[in-house]
Amino acid sequence: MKIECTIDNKHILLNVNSNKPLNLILLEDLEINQIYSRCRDGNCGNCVVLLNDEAVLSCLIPAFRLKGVRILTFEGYQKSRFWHDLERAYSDTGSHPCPHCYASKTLIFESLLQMIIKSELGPSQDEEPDEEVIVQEIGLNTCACLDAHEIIAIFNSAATYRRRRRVRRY
Amino acid sequence: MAEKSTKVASESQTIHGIIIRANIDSGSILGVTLPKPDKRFVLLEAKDVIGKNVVSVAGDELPLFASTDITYKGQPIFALFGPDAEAVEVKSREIEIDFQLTPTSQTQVQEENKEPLICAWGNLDEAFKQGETVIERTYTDRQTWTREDTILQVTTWVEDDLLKIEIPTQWPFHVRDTVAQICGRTQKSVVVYPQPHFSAKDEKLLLPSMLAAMAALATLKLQARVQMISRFPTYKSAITITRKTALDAKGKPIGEKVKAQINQGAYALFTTEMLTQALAGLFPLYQLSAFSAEVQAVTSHAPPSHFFGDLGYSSTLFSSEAHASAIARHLQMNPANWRIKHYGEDTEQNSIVETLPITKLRDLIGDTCKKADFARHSAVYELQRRAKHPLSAFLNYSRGIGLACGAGISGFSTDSALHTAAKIEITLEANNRVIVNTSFYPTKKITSLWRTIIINELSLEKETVTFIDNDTMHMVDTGPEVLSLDVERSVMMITRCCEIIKRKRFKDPLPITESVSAKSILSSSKIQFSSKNWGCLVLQLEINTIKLEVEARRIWGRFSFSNTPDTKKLQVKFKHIINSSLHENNIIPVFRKGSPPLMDIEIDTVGEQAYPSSATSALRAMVMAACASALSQALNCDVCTMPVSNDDIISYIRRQNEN
Repeated sequence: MKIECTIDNKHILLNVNSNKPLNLILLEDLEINQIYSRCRDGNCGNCVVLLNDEAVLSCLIPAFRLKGVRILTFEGYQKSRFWHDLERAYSDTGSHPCPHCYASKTLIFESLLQMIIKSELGPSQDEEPDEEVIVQEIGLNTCACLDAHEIIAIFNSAATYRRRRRVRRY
Repeated sequence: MAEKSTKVASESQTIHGIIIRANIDSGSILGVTLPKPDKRFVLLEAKDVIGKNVVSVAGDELPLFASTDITYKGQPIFALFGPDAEAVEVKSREIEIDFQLTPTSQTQVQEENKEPLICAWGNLDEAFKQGETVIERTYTDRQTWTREDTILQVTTWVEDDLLKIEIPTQWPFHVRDTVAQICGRTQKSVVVYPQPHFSAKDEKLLLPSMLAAMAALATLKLQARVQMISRFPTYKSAITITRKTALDAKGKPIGEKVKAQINQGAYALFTTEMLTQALAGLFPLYQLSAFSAEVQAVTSHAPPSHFFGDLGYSSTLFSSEAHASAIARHLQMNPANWRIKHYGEDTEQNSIVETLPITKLRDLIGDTCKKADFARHSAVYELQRRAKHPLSAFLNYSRGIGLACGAGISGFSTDSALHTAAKIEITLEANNRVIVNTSFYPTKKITSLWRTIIINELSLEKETVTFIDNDTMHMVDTGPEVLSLDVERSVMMITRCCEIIKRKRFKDPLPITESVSAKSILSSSKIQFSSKNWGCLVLQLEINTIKLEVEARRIWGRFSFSNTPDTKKLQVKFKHIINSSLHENNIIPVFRKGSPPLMDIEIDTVGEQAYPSSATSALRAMVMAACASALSQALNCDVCTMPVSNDDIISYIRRQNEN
């Protein structure tokens, strides 16, 4: 099956089996090695990518769902300027995810930060996430290295930087 | 299917494989029915092994494939290879294996596989005669296993007559040696590319070697690139510890008898080391005139146990600390005050574990309890529980606060063959470039520490230090990366290496290569473990009256290290360990809006010129012991089994209601 999509801001034409999971496409076809998991059934949550700015488990996304979508992996995300907001938040709060879930949790944080931007664009968009939603969303990754207080502290710190970025821009 | 074809794939195609495992605990293979011959698939079994069908580690062995007898559930019998993972999985269902089961009575038998390790001093009979009260408790650290999130994947291929392996492992040296032994090849013809995403708590120490050996056999047979995935969990030993303590009229412990039994599963791995580590945790911190500890390892038909952060130290330390709290509780004393009163320097214990002075621990207990307001919380919870203020139809007042303390251990014991076998090699090349040759996966945290030491010792630039990638040079065994990287030992070896190079520099021609083995550094020491840290942890918890789950409300921790490279990083690491340990013990960190942060952790350094040591295993033990102690207060009964389950809580409540 031939699928056109955008991965890490690059327009790509994939020729893969229609049911091949996205994590294996990234690992085997595109050789993106930032995904540390090969569990294939959403057990660990260590294979998170951003699919149209939404955090998803790549092991549960079959190839046929990738037509025309925009995928951002941690490798691609590290090249973006938004990465620095979370990097600073980790540094400010003195808390960061463990090496095993670092990439996935960071991408989930980013998807939550994207919700802030959307909520500021207009009332029809998603509402800004509250604390419970943040904790629930981070639960997509099952690693228990951060507690809820740390998660919220990181998010709030990153959100402050993200809002400042938007103020400067507009 | 039965016919083994060598035309499974072309050289460019990747072959996928799965392991076919036994689904019985114990028995023998009567016969195997294979599906119709299919040239796309190939089956490997014990007789296909070119070298020896065993995986060896530190003198212990376990078979790669079962040949006739099954000794545990999940034992590999075959490995099936085919064009893609899904097809192989479907094909594997067509294989039928007939087993003859061992009678149930025999499968449950536990056999003592080694002489027990005993340590004793004083006259125990005399102490028990003098004792006014005797307290006996049995503590259990249940068998646990990994979730399926640490799934292993191996890829093997042949390139320029070299057998190349790509696998997540913290001990590439062992992978290389095992593959060489099983495939009948020289060590130099096997190249291992370790991947960074290995398991967090060393629990898959030997599985990578087994998986790599199977894939390598297939690669050699089919001359193709082979990929295999293992989904089988690894198990931690179940440990049962019985502690019997005699107290005098004033409540001072005078004698203690401890017996620990470790169930190692079907194959005894690291038995000697496991007994030593378990014994190290059994020594109580209170002074005793007579003491006896016996550690016995048994084998059964459970899957073989592996490393799980350590080899039994955290389980036995948990029993020691939980028992100290149980004694204080029995005497109706505040556990913190009781500890401060009775914990003292013990020469016998210091011969096994070298620690910082006990006065430092007393200070830590005082500081932590003051910060946590331990005395008030403990008294209030006790009074409210006695007053029987019901929180729900099922439960009385269900909050508790527990305290635990201890010292962590680093690396293997000095008696262990693995302890002294480790080696590190440093080469100072022209242009002041340094190459570090180890079998260690160069993780960021340890390499940054090593790099700093090398730069400081040899006065070099940061960029000049490189770690070999194990492709062409002869790999040096640094040992498995267990017990939090064994920081102390590795730092000592690197420092010694640098010192020798420094002496030879500007005298001898470059390159200068020096290797230092752990044996040359540590052979003079008679002490089994070095522990240059103390820690104290207070945990406040509550039982959710609706879900009957245990919820952690607040945690306070104070730690003291002889020397730490980065206190802030260590603080973050400790938070990770505490969170993970809570989840392992089925305790949920509770989040309430506006509540203060869950954890309050502080680390100080004594400032001694000593090498940093790990506190990971002690921290796990402290979480377990503090939880058990807090639960005992919340449920008004002795909670001696961890991890705690919902069923346990219901049974405790029932027992409480019956009383």
